[in-house]
Amino acid sequence: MIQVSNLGKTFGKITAVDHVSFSAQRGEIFGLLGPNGAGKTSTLRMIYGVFRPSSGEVTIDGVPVHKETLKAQKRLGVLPDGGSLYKRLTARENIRYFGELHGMSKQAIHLSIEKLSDILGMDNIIDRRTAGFSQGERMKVNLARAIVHNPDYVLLDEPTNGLDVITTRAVRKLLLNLKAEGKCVIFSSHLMHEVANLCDNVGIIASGRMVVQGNIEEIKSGANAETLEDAFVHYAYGNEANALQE
Amino acid sequence: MPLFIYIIKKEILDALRDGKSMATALFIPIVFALSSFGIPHLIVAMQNDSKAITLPIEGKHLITPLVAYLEESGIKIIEPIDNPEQAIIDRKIEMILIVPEDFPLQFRKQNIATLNLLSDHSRTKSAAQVARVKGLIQRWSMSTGALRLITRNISPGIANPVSVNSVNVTSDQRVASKILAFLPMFILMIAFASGIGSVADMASGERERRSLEPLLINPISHSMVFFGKWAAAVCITTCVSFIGITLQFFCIKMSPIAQLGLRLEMGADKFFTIFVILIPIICFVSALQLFVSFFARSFKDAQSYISLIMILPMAPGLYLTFNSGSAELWQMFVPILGPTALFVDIVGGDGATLLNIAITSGVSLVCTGVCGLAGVMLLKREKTIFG
Repeated sequence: MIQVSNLGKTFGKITAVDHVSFSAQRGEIFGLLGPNGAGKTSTLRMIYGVFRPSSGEVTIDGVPVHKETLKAQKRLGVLPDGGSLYKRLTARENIRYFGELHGMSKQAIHLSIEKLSDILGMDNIIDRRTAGFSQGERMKVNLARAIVHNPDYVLLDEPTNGLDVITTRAVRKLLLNLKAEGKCVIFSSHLMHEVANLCDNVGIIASGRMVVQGNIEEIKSGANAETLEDAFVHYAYGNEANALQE
Repeated sequence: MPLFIYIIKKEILDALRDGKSMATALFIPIVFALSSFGIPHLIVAMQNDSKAITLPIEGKHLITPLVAYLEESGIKIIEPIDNPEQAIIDRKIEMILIVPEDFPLQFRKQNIATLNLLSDHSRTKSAAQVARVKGLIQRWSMSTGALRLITRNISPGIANPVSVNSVNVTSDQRVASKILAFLPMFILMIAFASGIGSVADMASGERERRSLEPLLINPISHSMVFFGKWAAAVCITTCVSFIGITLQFFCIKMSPIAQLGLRLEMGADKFFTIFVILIPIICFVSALQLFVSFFARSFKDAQSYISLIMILPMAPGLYLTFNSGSAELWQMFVPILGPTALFVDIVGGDGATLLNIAITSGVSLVCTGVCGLAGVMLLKREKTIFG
């Protein structure tokens, strides 16, 4: 289980994340929603150990991320926001590199790449250098690279941003596969229908604070809204949204 | 297998596929090798030029014995041309010797007889030729003066009471090594320049491409990431430096130093010793460049900063130009200066003692450690990862 407790992050006088708490279990897809600059990426960066929290703590299966970072990172597969590939390496070499850094054997890496290439439809690009890849192709390689080591916990920062329908479907299929395999997936997104279709539980972050969390129905009923989008606007923008509508 | 090995493998593969960086890395060793080949050729060509000095003389019938002496000494005497001053300015002739009409009279009266040698003093190319003609006239003047004294039963020593006998106590190799004075600096600059492209790419380039964050999410410590990148930079720079030193060996072997009357032994053993001394410097330079590259805000900044580090090998080179001599113990404790002094000694034939090599290598490795620690601390900062 990923347990986030009272997590806070400040940059000088700016508070990016303010006492955020939530938890995500294995076999669950948890959606992190929020407007631009709400603190989603900062929260995820603290969970995967590249940001040191100003306050609070994150544990993964009881392992405190910021005390035993490498141990926690072994359990994680991460697709960071805007993460880029090595353009002079092929897709296979990019994925293999991360598998090697997770201490996987050659055979295990080979099998994992074959499996992911099949799921994500990368057979035609797997041995091509990634320079000149389309956004969708880059995203597929990034995703495969993030989960090549078959992690128990998968963190994805806006994985379907800017993708075409086919690639979005491939990503959706992959997330459902991960859930079926008993993995825990946390992903942030702007796309409400994506979140509504995939997530078991959702947390909405606004101005660095977790304003609401629960399953989709709970969130909709709490905001007295018919759709998740309406509920999101209600929680994320509050009075500001009402003023705009008027 | 330790995880840093995979970082080394990846960085080397990435660098080898970066055509521009590799071309830049190999460009400097090739240019320096061509310089080592070309400079002795240029000096030989200039010396051959100096053998055929042409001297127009106005009024040569007035100084026939001097004309004969100059011709015996290999100077080609030609007829004067009109408006000689303009001819010199127009670079038609290098100089002209003008004999005043009253020269024979003054000469016979044994007064000081003056000759006028016109040349362009700002022209460095003709300076050696003018100096040679002046020297020959001076020598003829002295021998004529000595003959005059002998005919009066006076020892020529009266006019020259003191004579300085200049004795060269240094080896032929040390004298000959002056022609390769640039070699130590060339070798150091190869070590400093070879990694510029690849080091900037693997540090600030990695951050700018936004691939540093995904890399650091893997379960590998920051120190291993830095160490892997550093080791890759050391491998690349060592290979390029080896190519550079090998090219220097062949180019110097093929250069016509013997035609200058110099004996210079630059065998493979000397180049090998230079290479061994260079390896700890490469370790230091790579760590320093990697640190600077992580410190820089962008890839472009990193390249600019690393290029500034190129000044480092020039400073000891200049110091040793003005303070040449055998390497001193204190110099071994100064990074870069110690190895440069050892290179000068090796080229000069004095060799390098094991103690000096050990001290200077130790100093370079301590500097490597300091830069490495600073680099790891830098890499742990969030600001370094995200810019």
